[in-house]
Amino acid sequence: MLLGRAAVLVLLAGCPSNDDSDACDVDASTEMMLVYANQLGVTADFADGASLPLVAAPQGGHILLVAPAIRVAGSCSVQINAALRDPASGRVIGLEERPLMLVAHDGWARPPAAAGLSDLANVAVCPTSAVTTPIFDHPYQLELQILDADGHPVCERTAMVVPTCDDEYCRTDCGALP
Amino acid sequence: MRVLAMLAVLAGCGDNVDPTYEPWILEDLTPAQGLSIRTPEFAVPAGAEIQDCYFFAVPDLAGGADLMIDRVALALNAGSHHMNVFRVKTIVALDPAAGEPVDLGGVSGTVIRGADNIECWKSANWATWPLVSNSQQSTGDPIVDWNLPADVATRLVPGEMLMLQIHYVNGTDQVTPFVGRGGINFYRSADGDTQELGTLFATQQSIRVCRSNPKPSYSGACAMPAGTHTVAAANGHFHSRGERFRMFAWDGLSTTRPADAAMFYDSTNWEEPEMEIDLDVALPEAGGIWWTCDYQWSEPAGGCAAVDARDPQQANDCCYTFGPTVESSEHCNAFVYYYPKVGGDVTCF
Repeated sequence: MLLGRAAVLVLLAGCPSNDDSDACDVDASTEMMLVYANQLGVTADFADGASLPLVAAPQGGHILLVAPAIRVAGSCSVQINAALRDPASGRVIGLEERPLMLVAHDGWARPPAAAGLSDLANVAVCPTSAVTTPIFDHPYQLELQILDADGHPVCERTAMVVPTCDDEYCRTDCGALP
Repeated sequence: MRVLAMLAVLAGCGDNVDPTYEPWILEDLTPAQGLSIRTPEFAVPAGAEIQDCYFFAVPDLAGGADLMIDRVALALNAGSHHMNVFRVKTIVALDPAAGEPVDLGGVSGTVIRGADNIECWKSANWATWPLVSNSQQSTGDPIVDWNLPADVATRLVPGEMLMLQIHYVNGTDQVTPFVGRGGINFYRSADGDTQELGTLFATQQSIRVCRSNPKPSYSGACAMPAGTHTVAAANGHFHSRGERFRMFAWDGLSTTRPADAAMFYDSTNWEEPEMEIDLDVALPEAGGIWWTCDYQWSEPAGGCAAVDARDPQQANDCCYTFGPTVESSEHCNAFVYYYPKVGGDVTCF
């Protein structure tokens, strides 16, 4: 399931450069897009209001695979924080921080077109104790931050997304808790 | 704490017993006292990693009533990587009925040995199986003896199937000097505890610790059910590239790591991570826990071939990736015990 490539160009304010030579050189003029991957590892950009596939994780549960694409020269690494929030309660349903290697492609640094699970944030959202309604087919707020070397968020992009299920296992795992 | 005397003499193991071998001793419980489980002793040859899955049904010790357990003693011979007890739920490919019959210290069960059946190594098989108890301490004091907080008990239902999984390593990263063996005593509550203990198991599944990025850090957050909860015990789990494992009380709202003042678990000991008992950490209303694993890549003693072979991305970057084998893969697992349990136990993965 591929979404159309919708460029979400965002001017990011206040993003400092990182001293690490392999780290992405992100600053206030950096453009950023949001990227997801499906169960097959196929990546695509997405915009506010997008439907995102819930991916079955190897040990169980379902995750959203998301990452940034940033307008920088060359391949580079970032530490990111990705979270899914219930807009009704404000509670964070799933959150992960991890290092990512972004690959140069057409003037952007982004996850590879055919991505592995560790090429994107694995936001574990099912099962969850944070909501009592089904995860799938309901809108949630996705928040993605690029962190500095001290772990502080320096850039952030948010989008409303609708997690979706392709099979009964997903609908059961991501259904309402009893 | 009731740790019984360590005996220097081991009977019944032949003539080649190392005279320095000191087996742990747990008292054998009467039905009125509770339930004792003992694995057989087993050899752990040099260079081997052994993981076995023992299954048993909770016996009826109280005329059909549930067993409320307010003290747990877990014992391991030196060299153990972990011993975990889970409640068997959905059976995928690890079926207790397919195991070989085994006596578990007076309790009949079955065993599926990882050497014979790879399914005992595959965590997807117990993804829906809630944690009951665990220990990773086998050297020094080999017994974790935990009296649960006042008015708190673990519920065991007669007839419910449990899995005791035990993992031993005798390699470069970890050494088993004698033989493998584990045991547990579940002590029945006699004082009418009213709050049930819950467990939280959280893991990072897609970690990579690579030569090209030798100091990665992974964090996650795991939400608790609505209401207030108190953490009573916790321990973290990673392998030898793990440098620091931290857990924090988390408000369920913030996306930044909680302040150090909220940290309730901090371990740099990958080999014998402490089971922190006697914690009394009140989690924020509608909050949860945040956990962070920091790693330092190191060259595998046997070279990168085994590590590279199991890298799903085949990056040829000597990346340790998620998996159970101590020598060639990594973990980032949080085990948390809390009360009161509301609904089911908590998993985040």
